[in-house]
Amino acid sequence: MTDRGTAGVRALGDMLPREIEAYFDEGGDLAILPIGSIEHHGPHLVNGCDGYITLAKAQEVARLSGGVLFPMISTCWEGATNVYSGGIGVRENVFVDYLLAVVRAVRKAGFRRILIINSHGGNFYAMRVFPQHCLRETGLAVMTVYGSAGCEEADHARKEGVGEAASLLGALHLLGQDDLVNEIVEYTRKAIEEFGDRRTVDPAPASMQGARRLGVVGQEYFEEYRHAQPDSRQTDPRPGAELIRKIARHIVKHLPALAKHVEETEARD
Amino acid sequence: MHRRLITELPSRVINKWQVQGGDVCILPVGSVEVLGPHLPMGARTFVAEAFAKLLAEAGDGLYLPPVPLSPVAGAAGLPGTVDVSEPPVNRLLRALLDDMLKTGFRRILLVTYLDYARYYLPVEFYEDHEVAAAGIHLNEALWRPTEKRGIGNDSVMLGALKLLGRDELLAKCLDAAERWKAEGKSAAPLPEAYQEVIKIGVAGVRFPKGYYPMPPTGVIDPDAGAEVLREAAAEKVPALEDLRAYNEYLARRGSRGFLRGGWFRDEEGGAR
Repeated sequence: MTDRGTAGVRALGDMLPREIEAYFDEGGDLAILPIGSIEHHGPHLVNGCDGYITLAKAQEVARLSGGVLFPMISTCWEGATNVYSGGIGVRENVFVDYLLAVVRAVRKAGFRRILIINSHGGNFYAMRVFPQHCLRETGLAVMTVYGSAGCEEADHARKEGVGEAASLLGALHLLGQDDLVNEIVEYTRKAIEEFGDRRTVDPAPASMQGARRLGVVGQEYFEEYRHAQPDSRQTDPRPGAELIRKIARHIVKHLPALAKHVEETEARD
Repeated sequence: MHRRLITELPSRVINKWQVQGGDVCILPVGSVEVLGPHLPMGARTFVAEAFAKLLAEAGDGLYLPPVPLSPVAGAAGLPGTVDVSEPPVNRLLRALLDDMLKTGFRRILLVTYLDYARYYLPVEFYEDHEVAAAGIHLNEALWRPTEKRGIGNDSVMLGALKLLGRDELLAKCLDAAERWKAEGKSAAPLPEAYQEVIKIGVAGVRFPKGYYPMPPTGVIDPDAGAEVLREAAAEKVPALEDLRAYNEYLARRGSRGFLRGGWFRDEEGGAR
């Protein structure tokens, strides 16, 4: 929650009671709920990387749609980065139970459309099944969105090299945290000195590769740069900010259908 | 280290700090609820975050972003209030405390307005890990410095905005308070039956429309509110050293030893 990037955004935590009442009176019904994570992201990126990307995306969706931006739930399941310092997460089912309770509460608070935005890869599968789980358990139809949300323009930009680091810098710029952008650029410069630029990730141990032929196996990211490699091309916040804006525009374009989907689905349930 | 919010740091910076002895980590918990016509819905979250930030800065600690959605009391029925069921919130908070320990923090603090969470979670955490975490109740921590200055809780909430650099939001809140007073408004009363029954205990309630737990009736002084938060956080700093000593004592003692009296005696056998 910051003054710096929220101009023109209805951020629930910042709203006065009369403002939220007026929003409902005018027919507003959209809750935008960002989910973050706290985990290691290479030697150069900050532990809140995924959360900042998600929050910026959610903020832009709120700005374009007029919906209400919820405060971010900043932790979920962490994943394969547990060995690194400062990563804080919980078991996936603990998080999902909490999210289910949140969704119930959000609906009771007066919101009909609930859009959950996630950028954390470790949360991908859980959020893919969550809407069905939520409908089964509560009768409420919600929607989850991950990554580029099927935006072809964004996927193209990613292939052109706008990666996680650039997205983080762009997100922080959109959130008004350019001071942190500068620090991350400096972390990146130092990490390149230490590890090299765009260092190739070493192959996984042969035993792990072998075990993976069976399916999913537990793992840790065994090099510090495995999750994200320092990359001198990704030190400008502008391409990342544009990527996030593209994704937000794409999401908002499809939002009107969510109201109809909620109505039809809950009527059938 | 000029940043204390764990999401704003790379893991290797945190690691370096931990290797040098850093072990304080603070988990603030907030809520989204109607409190006053001049207060933002996330006011308790701002207070929890500001307090955690001040304590982290003064006590060489880190803090997590607040858990922003949690159970609320009577405001649950008012528009926009997000009242999350208690058990899943407690399980989430407990799991976060557990993971904070697992990732190397030894002095772990929960900062919250929630009675249940601040009491049971640290106690159960100790029962499972034999490590003492501390549950700080914000009402208790802020009460004395607030009383001393003769201001209301709303001033403290607006003081938190000041400390967090939320100047535009603060101006909006002050303007809303002025308008409320200028228009001569007052909050709707609580139901009479409720007012009667709570003389003998606790009863669940849904506030009626137009009721506010914190209407802008008294002096509103965000500067004094910020001072309250600074003073309350500063008061806790020496206790961080005590928490370290206590956990070292627990580690030396080895096992609970209630039956052997170990809980009550120091190494020389004296009562503690």
